[in-house]
Amino acid sequence: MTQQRRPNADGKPGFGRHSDQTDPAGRAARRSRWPAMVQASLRACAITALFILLAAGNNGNAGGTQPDAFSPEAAETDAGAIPALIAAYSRDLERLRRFMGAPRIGEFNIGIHSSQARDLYFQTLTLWRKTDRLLFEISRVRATPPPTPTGELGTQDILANLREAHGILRQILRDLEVPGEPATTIGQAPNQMDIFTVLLDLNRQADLLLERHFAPSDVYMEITLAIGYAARLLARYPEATRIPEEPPFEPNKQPSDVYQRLISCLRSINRIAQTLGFAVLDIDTRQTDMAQLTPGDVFVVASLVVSQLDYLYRRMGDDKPPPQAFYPGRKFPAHSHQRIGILHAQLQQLERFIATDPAASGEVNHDSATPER
Amino acid sequence: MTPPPRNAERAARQHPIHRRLLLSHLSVALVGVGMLLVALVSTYELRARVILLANEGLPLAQASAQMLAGVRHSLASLRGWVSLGNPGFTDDWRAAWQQEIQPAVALIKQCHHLLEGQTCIPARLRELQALLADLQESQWWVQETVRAPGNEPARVTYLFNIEPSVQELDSVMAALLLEEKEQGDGKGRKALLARLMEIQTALSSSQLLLRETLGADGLHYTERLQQQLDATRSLVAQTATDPLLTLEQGRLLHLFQRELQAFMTFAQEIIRQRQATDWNIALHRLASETDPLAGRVIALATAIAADAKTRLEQEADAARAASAITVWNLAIMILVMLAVAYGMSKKHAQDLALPIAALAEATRKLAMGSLSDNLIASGNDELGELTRSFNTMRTSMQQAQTVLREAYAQLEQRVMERTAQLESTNYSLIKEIAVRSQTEAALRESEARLRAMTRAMPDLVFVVDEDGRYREVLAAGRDIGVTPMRGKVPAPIRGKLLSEVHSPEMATFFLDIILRALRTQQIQIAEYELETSSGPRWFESRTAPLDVQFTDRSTIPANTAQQHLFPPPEVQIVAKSAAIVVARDITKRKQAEVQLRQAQKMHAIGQLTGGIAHDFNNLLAVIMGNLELLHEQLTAQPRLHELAQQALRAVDRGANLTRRLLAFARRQPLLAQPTDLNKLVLGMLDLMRRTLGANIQIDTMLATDLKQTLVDPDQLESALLNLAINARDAMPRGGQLVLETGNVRLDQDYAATQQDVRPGPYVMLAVGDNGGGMAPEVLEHAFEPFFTTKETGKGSGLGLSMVYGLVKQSDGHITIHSRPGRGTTVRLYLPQMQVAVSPTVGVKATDTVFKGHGETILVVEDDTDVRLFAVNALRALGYDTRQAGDAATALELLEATPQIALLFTDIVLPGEMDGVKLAAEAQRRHPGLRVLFTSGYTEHPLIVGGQLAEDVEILAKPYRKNELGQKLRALLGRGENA
Repeated sequence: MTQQRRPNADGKPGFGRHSDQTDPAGRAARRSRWPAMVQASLRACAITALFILLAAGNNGNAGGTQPDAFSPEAAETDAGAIPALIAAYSRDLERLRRFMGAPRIGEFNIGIHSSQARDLYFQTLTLWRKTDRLLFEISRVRATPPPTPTGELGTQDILANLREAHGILRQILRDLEVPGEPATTIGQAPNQMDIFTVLLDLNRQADLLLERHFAPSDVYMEITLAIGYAARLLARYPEATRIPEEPPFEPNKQPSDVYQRLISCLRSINRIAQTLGFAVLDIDTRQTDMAQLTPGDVFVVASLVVSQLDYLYRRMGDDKPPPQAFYPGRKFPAHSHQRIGILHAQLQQLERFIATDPAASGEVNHDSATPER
Repeated sequence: MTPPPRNAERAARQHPIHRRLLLSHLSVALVGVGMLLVALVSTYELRARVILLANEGLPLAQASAQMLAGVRHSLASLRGWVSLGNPGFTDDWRAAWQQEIQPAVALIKQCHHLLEGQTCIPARLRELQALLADLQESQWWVQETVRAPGNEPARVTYLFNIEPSVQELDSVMAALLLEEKEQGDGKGRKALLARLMEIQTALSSSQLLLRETLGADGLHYTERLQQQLDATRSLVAQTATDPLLTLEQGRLLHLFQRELQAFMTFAQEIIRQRQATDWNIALHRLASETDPLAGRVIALATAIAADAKTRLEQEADAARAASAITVWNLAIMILVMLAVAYGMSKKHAQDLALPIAALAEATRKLAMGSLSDNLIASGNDELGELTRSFNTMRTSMQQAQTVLREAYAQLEQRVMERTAQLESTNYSLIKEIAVRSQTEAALRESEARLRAMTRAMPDLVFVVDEDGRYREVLAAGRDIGVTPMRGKVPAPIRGKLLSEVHSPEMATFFLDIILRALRTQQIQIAEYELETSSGPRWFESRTAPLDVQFTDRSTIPANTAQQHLFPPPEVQIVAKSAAIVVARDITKRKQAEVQLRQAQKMHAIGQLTGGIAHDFNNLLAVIMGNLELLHEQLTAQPRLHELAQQALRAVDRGANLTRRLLAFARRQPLLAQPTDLNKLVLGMLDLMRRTLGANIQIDTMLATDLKQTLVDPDQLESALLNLAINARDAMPRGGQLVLETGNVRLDQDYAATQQDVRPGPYVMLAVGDNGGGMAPEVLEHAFEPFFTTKETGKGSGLGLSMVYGLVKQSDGHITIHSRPGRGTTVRLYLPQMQVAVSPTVGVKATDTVFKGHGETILVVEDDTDVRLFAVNALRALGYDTRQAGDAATALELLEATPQIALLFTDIVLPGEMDGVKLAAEAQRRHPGLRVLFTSGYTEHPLIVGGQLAEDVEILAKPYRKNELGQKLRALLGRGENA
């Protein structure tokens, strides 16, 4: 299920679990707004931990004596730890793929590139979600969600997601009794790695292992979340129509149609970011093979849209939380395509308003001194 | 006279009257202007308040009410959607926002003048707008969420967690039960099986209770569910310790326990979610966010409306007060103005009225004739001056009255004299007018006659002067419908020079005629062809000198050196001689002449070819007859027999040639029958397709109601085939041949331009091709015999001439239209038969030999060779013969030989009695005598218009022996049958 974003106690947007670190009254009030899925996940985590302990007791050397990738000893805080963790996850995922007899993903260029921490964070979060779904399908338990970051997203937050995802993957390997040694991060960091692309590939590979793949309904849910963010951003402008009229339903849409519309939204966000002086994504879809796009790939793009809007939202410091996402039932790409129409109209308004009055959107040009590229 | 009051006198001395009047009026006007200014200010203020109330007060009240209604409407629609799930409620919800709330907010914002008075209103309006946006967004999320499965997280947990878990548990339990059944019925195993089934039942109950928990009353089931879960767990735990469990069962039960643990965790989660206040996200949002927002919106809108109402009431009070003040102000000012105006007017009236009254009295007396008393002039103002002037006037009037009396007497005398003079002059004028009226009437009558005459004239009548300028166009030749033109644009010619209307050559030609007429004073007649708007046309003109001269005004330019001495410019009148021209369109006459010449030429050629063909037929008859006899005799000598055969074929070709010549000369005997051209054309299509080849497409356009015509169908078929072959030769690379039939009517006008064409209904047969076509010089000779454009040996040049002869002989008409490169169309017009008649079926010649039975035949033929051939042929056929070279001999032989059964005679015989007269005389003397005529052509009264008279049998020369035998047999057989 979808991770739910929540504002922190000081009004900054963040993730629900960590917003409970302030006063009890506020905590109680916010707990009532916690998404049910997160709470379910917490309970599942407790059960999972019990199973891990049991498994460790049974196997003796399952995870206690060797240094673990997500153990405190192995935790590294510098940026070099990320490629090492990714490499370890990748090796274990390959072991699992071979064990499960799942196909290997083909080479694919999704047409987007970024080295921004926020984008890497959201990709690792997606990876965690896919690994968690895989754990549930195999071991019938759910893992504890990674800690919700506060403030600016950074390397620590990415590492936390990766460690959690890798831990879940290792548990799956243990539950399935996959032969072979688990991968470690020590001395495994490759010299050159395009982290964003590797994360995208891992996400695609993880999706292939799932019984219930990331489907159009997940994309739909992510887009609805993005609409919520955009509505909150538009709330600063009294003349804006926060949630414009939904365009007519057009049947027979493919994932590629949804992809292209999302890319259009990303371009719109890029223009907004450029106006405000923020770093932008690299978008070049000329090499993208539209015929190979799957709902999982489209979900990646949708999550990038959410990550960009989340970033803008954090910058604006709004005190009202975006509405939580909800499972919409069975949806087709055409539904997502229709829904993006709302988002697109919202972004067009936002672009127009920010171009007219950038100061109304909050901080301006705060990143101008350190351009990304 | 009453003296004026003393104070008035004093005032009159100080100020003239006009100044006093001016001051008086200015005072009154000043008071009026002041009053109006006060009223204007008051009215303007009142107007502003009324406008504000009208423009903003009422709309604001309406908008507030509309917005409140819209908010309530949106809430009601949303609740309808949440409760019933009818999509119509979402439409209502959208309509509430789009048609009620948003327009209402826009309207409220427009009422800014009214709202500006409230210090807090702009901020409250912004707050209201923000609240409305929040409310709309909140409602959108509610309506978006409420029907989605994710609206209830417990259901999602059930869907994604419980159901897979139950499936897993069911599959493990099924395996356990299977394993247990395989263990047989050992001791205690039944109890184990029963426990396993009990676990299965407990699991089902737990699932059932979980499902109930999801419902609206789900909280009632949570306690029972918890108990059921505990019982299930306890049952499983007890079973796990059973020693009867096999290893496989132990493994399976372990798996079961593990999945059961997950199941229970999910079940606990569902219970927790169901017990949470936001178990239904949409309802929770509706209750916790949307409804409070709506309440705030309603409260704020109500407050704004209340403020606005207060402001409106204040404005209304102010307007009422302003209205009252304005009314009072106006009333007071009116009274003041009336008082001031009355006082000042009264004073000035008194000052003015007394002297004027005295003056009026004196004037009245003056009018009554009392010119003796002077008025006393007081003061130096206008009234004093007026009084003095009055006295002067009175004195002058006294003097003038005396002079006037004398002048009156003189005037009376002069009037009487002048009246008598005028009466005389008037009588003369009346007479002159009567004469002039008669003259004008005669002139108008004459002009009307002239106009009618020129209108009736079909000719062009115009006057041209000696310079070649059109002076008058008396008749424009409307019937002709042409306009002389230069270039391609017809234009009015009056006032233009000949050279401006015609080509230089024609202009010179016309001017020469006009000058010659003027010089000789004789009528000049000329014929010429002129290019007109309807093409080249022939005209015959008569040019006569005109007695009337036309004048031109020409200006003489002034000498610039003496321009200051003489007034420029000087006008000179120049007289011009002119001639009247009557031009008649003789185009039709010219065309008829051409047609006549063509017809005469064709007739002469026909005469010539007919005569040749006749003589040639006689020769051919002899040659054919002898060759035939020779051919029969030479059967024993194949080589000679073949030579004779070849010679006979050549004779046949010669005979065919003469037949076509005769056809052109309209002298071939025709067997005319009522014929349906459509059937004829359709019957020939196969033959034509074979003849023309595959690269020529034949299309037909046949009229459905085509009338019959009287024509020799065999000859017409031959003609049609000839035309088709001509078309094929014109399309060497293939093309389209169109055969068209139709009923047409040739009218009187058309017939008048053609030779030998009678107006009336015709049947048309058109043969058109899109081949090379013909040049005009070729077209001119197309019907002439032996004229051909084909290579030598390819065509005889008799095809079209034969068609021409056939049509003419059938009282028809033929036209040929051709344009080089576009194709040729030949149209045959044959007279219509008004009554349809079934065609008679002709007896075709066969090769059967028709032998005689010794009957005696009298052969009358002036050509010895032909006669000899006929006698030999008859004898060969088994007849007895007598022969004569003229009619007289023949009559003698008839008298001498009573057994003669048939007279076989040439139509053309020497002497006074020809074959026809001979036959008549013979039949008169011997009633029942059969007669068979023979002839080389049909130029005889026996053959009327090319058609045989009734009951006349004729055998055309040259003929075969067998044809002769067939004819004789038919005639004699008819006599036998009779």
